[in-house]
Amino acid sequence: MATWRRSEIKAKLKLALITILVLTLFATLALTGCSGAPKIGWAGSLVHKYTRQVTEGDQQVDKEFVSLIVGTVDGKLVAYDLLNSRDTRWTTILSNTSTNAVMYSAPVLSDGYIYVGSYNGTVYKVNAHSGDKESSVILDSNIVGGVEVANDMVYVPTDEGVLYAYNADNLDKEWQYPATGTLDDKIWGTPVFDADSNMIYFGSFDKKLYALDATSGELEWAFETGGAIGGKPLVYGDNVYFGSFDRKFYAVDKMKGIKAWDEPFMAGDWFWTEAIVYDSTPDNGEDDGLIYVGSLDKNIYSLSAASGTLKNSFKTSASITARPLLAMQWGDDEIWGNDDDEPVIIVASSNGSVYGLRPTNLSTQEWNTLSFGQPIQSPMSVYETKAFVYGNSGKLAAINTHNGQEASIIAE
Amino acid sequence: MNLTIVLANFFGGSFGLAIIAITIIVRLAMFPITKKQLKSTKAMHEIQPKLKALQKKFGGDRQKMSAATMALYKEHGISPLGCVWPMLIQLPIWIALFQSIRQALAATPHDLMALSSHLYSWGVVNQNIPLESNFLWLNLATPDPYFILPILVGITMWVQQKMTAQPTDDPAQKKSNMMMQLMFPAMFAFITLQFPSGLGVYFVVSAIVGIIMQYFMMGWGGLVKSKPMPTYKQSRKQIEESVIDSKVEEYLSDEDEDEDEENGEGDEKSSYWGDKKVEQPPQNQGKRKGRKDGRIRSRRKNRR
Repeated sequence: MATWRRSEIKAKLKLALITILVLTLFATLALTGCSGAPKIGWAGSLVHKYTRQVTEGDQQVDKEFVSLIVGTVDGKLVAYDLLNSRDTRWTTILSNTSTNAVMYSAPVLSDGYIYVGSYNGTVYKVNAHSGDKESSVILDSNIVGGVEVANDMVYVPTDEGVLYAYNADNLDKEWQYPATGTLDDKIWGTPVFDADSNMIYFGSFDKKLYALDATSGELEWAFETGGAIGGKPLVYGDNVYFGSFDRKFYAVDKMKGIKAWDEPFMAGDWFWTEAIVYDSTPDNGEDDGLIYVGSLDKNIYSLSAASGTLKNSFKTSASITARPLLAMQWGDDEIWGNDDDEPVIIVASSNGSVYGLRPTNLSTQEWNTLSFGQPIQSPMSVYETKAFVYGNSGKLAAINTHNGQEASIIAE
Repeated sequence: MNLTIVLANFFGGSFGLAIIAITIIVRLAMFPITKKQLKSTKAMHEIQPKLKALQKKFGGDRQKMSAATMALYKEHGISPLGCVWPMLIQLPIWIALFQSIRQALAATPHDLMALSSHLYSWGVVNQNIPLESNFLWLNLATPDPYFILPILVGITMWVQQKMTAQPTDDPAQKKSNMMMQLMFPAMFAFITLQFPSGLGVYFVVSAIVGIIMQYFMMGWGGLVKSKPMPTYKQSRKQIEESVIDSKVEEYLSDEDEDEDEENGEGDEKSSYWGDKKVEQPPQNQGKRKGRKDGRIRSRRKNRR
């Protein structure tokens, strides 16, 4: 009888094991993340300051508005009143379907309208005062990089490897690059327009930085690097500055497309985010500006814009994927301290630590590190002496630029 | 994952070829386990005549049949669970490969961000990111829109399962085999339908490599119609020749003793077939008889 039981038990055990195997495989694959569209992203915020005529009593008067407009992680645009109550002024759900209009780049403001591209392949144009959706254009490709609005056009980078130029007014297509077909890889980097050269610059995962005539879309030049380019280039002076996944940061002549530095600057990991520049000659003791750029190697570097020489660096506690922010510590009507007459570089690392660093010496922290409590990958924005930080889980807070403390939590 | 990316670089940036290469490497690395599994399967095939004979002997007596079957399995070193362990061992490899495909292809910014933290600082690795996701008609980062790959996965897995299937008369075992043959291919086809097709490429190549290994070790197995089962007489002869000294016989002889005892023939030599006496080899006869007598004496004593 005991032997019979053993046989039966073994057979049942085998069935159970197979069932467990199947269920485990299903569960594990499901838990590790399925394919398909992401449900949340990271976008960012912008400050919209404008004057509008309103009726007060029986008179038409000009009234000033200041709004903080945030692209939320779940696909909405939300405007907060920054002057008075910090209350929500309007909320616009971008997608008309059940799928979120996930955004990976900050919305852009131009002539009273907000333009933003979504991973669902749609470019939205929204009235910045009312939040009404004015128009949209649907592409056959995902959009990861941000749009650039300039020259009366909206430049849209796409996952399929095409840069589109639309009329900013009616969103009719003006041109596309390449005119036929696609590049060899995706365009996840946000394009940048330079009025001086009338060119639009963008990086691609095919390892090249492209410069196009902003009006016609004709290729002016392309500069090849050793890795994919995912960040937004910075145009400053005569050069275009950008980082690559080959861990190098480049400076290229914006007209000719040839390297401006003898050697690119080498970091320990990818460059994902765009650089910013601090130009306070001669206060910073440099002939030219200083370029600040964060890397996934956790460091923020300051480099000479002229030579690419490393000036100094500061190591944070995690990778840096959000663009650093340059902000004044005190307002014009506030009393300045002895050492507070220069701005502060605010850096957020992907684990949610926020740092305030002295621009001329990054190793000096202006204030103690703030623990934001959420990963930060969205670029920050600033209004007067408040920096607005948006976390990956939806927390939006205003931070005092002079002491790094949370002045208020706008949304959680 | 880093190895896969290096392989992709070796194959001119083709991540599809890198997946095929890494699959073959993984299957070769697991060959010792696979070999053990196939040996077990082969042994199962070989004892089929004996199992058939045992079934005829015991008919509907499930208890005796199961006991004798287990004894026969044990004697030939067959584990009924033998085919499950290799699959369990492969499970973490599937998950790791799934993760590496999903992350290396970086279909979304989240994936690409996560990828950066898993890469070595080798130049060859960083310069190949993101990987080329197009391979044949597939975008390896997304499911096959034409459903060709899921069908291929289903067919190759079914062929492999069919070749491995252990023929049996045990209803529970039959049920397991049936489930293995249908459920696994269906499950993997479904997974391929839902997940990046790079994973489907791994499934197909892995199954094809498995089929080739099985073919060279044990032929087409259960895929082709097996040879006619031996006749009852042939089976009985086989068992008499090879199983007579086994634990099966030992177990069964106990049952015969009980029957003999009840018929008053306890001291006579008898076959465990019950219908015919079989002469035992001389060298075993005395030992067996003595052992049997001892047990009978013990039982009689107990009864008294």
